[in-house]
Amino acid sequence: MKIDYRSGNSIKTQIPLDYKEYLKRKEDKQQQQQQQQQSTQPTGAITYKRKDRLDEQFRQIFMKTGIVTQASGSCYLEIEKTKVLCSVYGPRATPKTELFETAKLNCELKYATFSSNKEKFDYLENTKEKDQSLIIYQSIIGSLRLDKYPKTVVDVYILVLNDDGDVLVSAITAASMALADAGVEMYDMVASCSAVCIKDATLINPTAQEETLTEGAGKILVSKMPSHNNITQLIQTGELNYNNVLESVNLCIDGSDKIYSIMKQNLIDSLLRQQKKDGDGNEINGITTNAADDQMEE
Amino acid sequence: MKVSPSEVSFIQKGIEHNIRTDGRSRVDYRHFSLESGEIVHSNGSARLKLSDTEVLVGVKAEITQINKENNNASGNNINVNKRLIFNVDCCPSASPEFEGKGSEFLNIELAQQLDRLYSHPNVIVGLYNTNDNTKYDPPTATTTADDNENSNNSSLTIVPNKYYWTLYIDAIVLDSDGNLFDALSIATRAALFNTRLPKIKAIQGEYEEITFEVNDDPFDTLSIDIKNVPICVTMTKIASQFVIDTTTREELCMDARLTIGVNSSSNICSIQKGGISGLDPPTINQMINTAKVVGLKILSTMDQALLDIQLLK
Repeated sequence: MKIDYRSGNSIKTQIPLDYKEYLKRKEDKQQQQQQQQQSTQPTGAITYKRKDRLDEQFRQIFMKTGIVTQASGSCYLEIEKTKVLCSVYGPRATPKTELFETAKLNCELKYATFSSNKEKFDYLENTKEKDQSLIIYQSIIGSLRLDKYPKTVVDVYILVLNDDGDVLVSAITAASMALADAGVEMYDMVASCSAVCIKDATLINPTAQEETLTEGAGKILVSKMPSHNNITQLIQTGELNYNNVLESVNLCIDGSDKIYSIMKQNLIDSLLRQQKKDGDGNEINGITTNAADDQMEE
Repeated sequence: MKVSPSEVSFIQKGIEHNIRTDGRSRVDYRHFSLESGEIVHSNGSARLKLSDTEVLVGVKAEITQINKENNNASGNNINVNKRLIFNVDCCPSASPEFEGKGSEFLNIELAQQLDRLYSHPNVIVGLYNTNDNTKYDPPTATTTADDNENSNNSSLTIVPNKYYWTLYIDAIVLDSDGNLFDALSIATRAALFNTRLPKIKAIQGEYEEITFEVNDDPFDTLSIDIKNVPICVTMTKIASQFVIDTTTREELCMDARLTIGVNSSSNICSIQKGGISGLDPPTINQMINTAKVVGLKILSTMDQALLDIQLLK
């Protein structure tokens, strides 16, 4: 595995701070709501004040494709302290899948034993991991053109190296990037975003600390194919009223659009880098790069 | 079970015309019958029959001790704050697909959905005395400096910061004809309503140890207030329309589904999307809105039915 020397890497991305418009919209909405009704806030008990960033601000995101040399495609993703590594193997043939008309997608999420100080993870897959694998599977399967690869299997392995909140979002995003890196045909990449709704605030991209402090509050996760405007996954826990749900879903949709632009930029950058490294004389690589470029524009 | 392409097209076209294979319209629910208290060895139980779908839910209450030292130890894998533990098992007798490992992921999906539905700390508002319907005040913590205590189902407290009731909610799918999510949530709610917890008095011993004294009268028990307990409504998108309460056949030709939890104050308690294709935001709004209306209707019918059952006994 190549080691990532962060200092030499220039594509560290910060989501631009164009939240002013959003904040204004939100203020307007709040006023409207107050005038309309003093409805009961189900999440009234929980309050939390974010100190180091705005409520609607993302943490810094870093992603890099082509990290694992043996895999067909891979992606390493950091959202500050949340670190996720995803590798994709396939589409490859297996004796079991000979009869399938479409490719089979296999998705596995694993927490490293040292990834969290709250929970201890065994080498065996536990219920939480299985459930999260299923969520990731459901989020990305809609984006892939599996009918293009009959009798094969696509394996997606996600390893959570460090858990500092928003693991699912990172995992879904990384998985989609890795699949794009592997050149699996897809309609669109899947970007994801999550939020925690507490009393009079919605916190985007929560850290592990925020997740534990606001336990029981409403949480929403949205994953989306932005160019199709299709929501591929939507999960909510905790009690929220209807308006809150719609508002935070919209907020998450905005967030995933932003993540999507970063994903796209990173993918283009990585292809350009690869092209540069291989040199212009290498035709085969040139062709594959173009093909991948086309695919993404599609 | 498999459906042929012509069957799929038949079902889809019917739904476009607002008539389904069994004569219902898109937002009609099938009739369901509810029985409670069938399992004598459990604290509470319910059986729901929704057409051919049949689920059985049993609630077992156990006393859990929370040890402050154990909490922080890394070896402890169980979330100590959880008072409700769900387990769903799809019997192979219900469908041959459930045999062996076939139902593994479905079981997890169903159990996690229930878990999400009950993830709000105020799901169980409180306990009341079964005999005279008066509110029962759980012992409250004398020391205030405890975060866990306030944030969770503190109504299931026996001794603050030490002993709690943990409810193990086990559901078995006996027969399946679609709409398992809704059936399970309704049956779980009924089982919780049926649950009777014995009255327990904790007696502080000379040193650290605490002994329990169970009330002599077997009918003097506590019941759970299910006012705030949600149920879920699954909206299934087939062709360009969405329907509720699907049969297995309809589920086989669905594009996507959205399971939405609704409680009696018409708040949304959980959302989970399933199926492989995507949904666009306006459809989701519509689905949530419809689910709210349908959910409230089911809740009111159900509450009435549960009261009737209670009066009969």
